[in-house]
Formats: sequence, C-alpha cells, structure tokens
Amino acid sequence: MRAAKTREEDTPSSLPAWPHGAWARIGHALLLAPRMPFVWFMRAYRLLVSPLYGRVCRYYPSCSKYALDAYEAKGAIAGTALTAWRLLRCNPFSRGGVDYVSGSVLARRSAALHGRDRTAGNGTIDRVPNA
Amino acid sequence: MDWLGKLLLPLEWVVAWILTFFHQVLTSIGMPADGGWTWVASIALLTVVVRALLIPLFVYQIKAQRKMQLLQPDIQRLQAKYKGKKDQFSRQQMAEEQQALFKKHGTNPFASCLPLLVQLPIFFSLFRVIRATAAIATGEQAPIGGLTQELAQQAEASSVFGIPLSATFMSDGAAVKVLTALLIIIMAATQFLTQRQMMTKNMSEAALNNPFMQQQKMLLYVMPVVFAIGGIYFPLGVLVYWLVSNTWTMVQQHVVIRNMPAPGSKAEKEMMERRARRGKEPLPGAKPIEMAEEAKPASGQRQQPVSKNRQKNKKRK
Repeated sequence: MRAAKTREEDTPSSLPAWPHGAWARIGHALLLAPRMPFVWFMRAYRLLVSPLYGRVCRYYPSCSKYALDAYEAKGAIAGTALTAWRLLRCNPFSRGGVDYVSGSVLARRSAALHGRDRTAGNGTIDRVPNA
Repeated sequence: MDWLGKLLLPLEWVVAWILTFFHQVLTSIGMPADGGWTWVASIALLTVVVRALLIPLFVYQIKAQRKMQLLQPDIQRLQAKYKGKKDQFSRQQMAEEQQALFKKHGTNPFASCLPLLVQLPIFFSLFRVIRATAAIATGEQAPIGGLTQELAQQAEASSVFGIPLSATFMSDGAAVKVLTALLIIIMAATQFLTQRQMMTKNMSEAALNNPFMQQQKMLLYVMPVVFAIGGIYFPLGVLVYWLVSNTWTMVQQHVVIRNMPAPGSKAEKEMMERRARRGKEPLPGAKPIEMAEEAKPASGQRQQPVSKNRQKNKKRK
C-alpha cells in the first residue's frame, strides 16, 4: 500500500462480498451497479475535498465516511436517504456522538469491541488483503 | 443546474430585497442612483447584515470551546490510555470513548460543517442576482424581489473605476484584471492572516500538540490558494461581498481573542500581562476556571511522615 495518510476512521470497503458462481456474480454486479457512482464520488470526495477543511464533524464517523458506508452497505437510494438525514442532524446545535451505518465495517467492529459479536475478533471482519 | 436555481430562488429574492433596500436608503441620502459606489456600498451593507445575523452562532461556538477546557484532563487521560495503540480497533474504541466524554459533559469541540457552508448559499444567490441583472434590465427575465427592471438598468449602467459590477477576472480589459486580481489577493491574505492568528495566538499547548494540527497547518496555506482560484470566476460584486465578509471575520476574531482568549494560549498570557499592568486580577470574572489540578497525584512517591519537630525545621528553611 502506498503511504497515503489514512484517517482513523478509514476502513476496508463495506460493500457486500462477492458470491460464488457465475450467475450469482452477474446478479451481484447488477445489484451493485447503481450504487457504484455514488461510492466512487464519496471516495474521491474524501480523498480530495475532506482534507481541505480538517476535522469539523460532531459525529464519529464523520459525515463523509458515514455517507461512503451508507452507499457501500445500503445502496444508492437508502444511502442517499441516510446521508441526507445525517447531514441534517449534523449541525452546531446537535449533540453529536457515535453513529454508524448498520452493516458497515465500523459498525461490525464496534459490535465486536463490545462483545456482541464473538466471531469478529479473529479477523473475520477485516480480512484486509495486504495490497 | 436549474434545480439549484429553484432551490435558491427564495434566498435570491431576499438578497435582492436587502440590496435594493440599501440602494434606496443610500440614494435618499444623496448618493447617485446609477453610481457604482452606491451598489458597492449596498453589497457591503448586505454583508454586514448577514454577518450580524451569524453572530449568535459564533458566540454559541465560542462558549462550546470554552467548555472544552473542563474536560481537558479527561481527554489527556484518554490519550494516555491509548498511547502507542495504533491498531484500528483501539483507535475506534478511543474515538467512541471520546464521543462519550463529549456527551457526558454536554459539549463538542467540533462545529460541524454548517458554519463553513452557511454563507455559501448567500454567495451563490448574490452571484446569480448579479448575473441576472443584465437579463432583468432588458426585460428578458422577470424582476427578482425588489430588483425591478428600472433598478437593474441603473445597476447595469453603473461602474466603479469604469468596471461594471458583473465583470470577473476572466472578462476583457486590463483594468478589470488589475482590480479583481487586487481584490482576490487581499481576500486570500485576510483568509491567511485570520487563520494564522487563530493558530499562533489562540491555541493552548494541548491543542497545538493535537494530531490534527499538522493537517490544520497545511490548510493554512492551501485554503487561500483554493479561494484565489475560485475567485477568478466571481463577478466584482461577489468579490466585494467576500472582501467585507473576510474583513469582518478578521476583526471579530481579533476582538474575541483579545477579550476571551482560549485558556492556556498565548493570547491569554498577553491578556493577563495587560491586566497586571493596569493592576487588575489576572482574569476577569470571579472564578477563573482551574486546569492542570491533575498533575499532583502523578508522582508515585508517598509523602514521608514527618515528626512535628522536623516539620517546624522544614518550614524554617
């Protein structure tokens, strides 16, 4: 991996895993197709725009990471809805806090941290190919 | 991008009304109705109105930041607990615990992105109103708010140093380029100075040692460049708005840093020195908030019991 500075909240993708079998893979690709432009947009945004204004978000993870997770884990429509709702909630008068997209890597990791998911500790969550 | 136009229409309407209101006021006190400076002053007054409306948000944020000093010891304890733990699980747990701390104390040091973005729709609205002026003047477009065809014609005819308000750096003419370039440079400079003043004067030792600091320092140099590049597409009228707004930020911050500096910052030290010279107590208000009470128990050594006699001896020394 190149030495791009990673943020604490950066994780491997929360996209659903590829299934086995040719037909299942084609179906999976079709299922993921609508969300990919949004996912790429959010990745580009987090690479190019987020660093410009530093850390300002009242929540953990930040709104941009939340949006990325939402598109990856939930798809284009639900992702947009979740993102919009988060952006509305994130204002100087909200209290902020920990707020994960359910089903995202961060959410699963958090569950593992708090012992709600026993299988997670031994690397089943984050099998990060070292590339 | 027409949906953007529809979304901004109410705001454009408000912007147009405020502009024409000030234009009316200024003409009634004797400024020429078709003078460029009358319109420049109207835009400047519009900026003042917007910034004055944003003061409460600013005050709210300052208060939140001052509250942060109360949990500084907790934050430091948390940082010590996770010192050297770089794996993602630990980082995530630390972030969660930090959020829990903020919640417990009912404060949050981060302002959300809203304060950064809140002026953006106003910029765009002003941008669109100025751009629409030509079409309104010829009657191609319906008037926006108080900006009637007659007023639009006056605005179109007006100029400062012979430059119309809708000219950008990209327009033809040497004078246009010189004036807009000058404004853009002043704006980038005010942006830079404001940011630097915040960093050099109003940050506590702890905040300066924050891991985000390096990133923030980079921003100090990147932001003015970003603004300067954006600025070449903005009409003169929008540049005026921007200039006044940046100047407002600079003055506002200067006043705040001087009178309510962040605890533990250089500005606070300077304020204490000023007050000492005038013979006042170091901090205004009855109860200066204490920090760093934590330092004592860190020493692992037990205080040796001392007989009464020796205690007296110690005192004498």
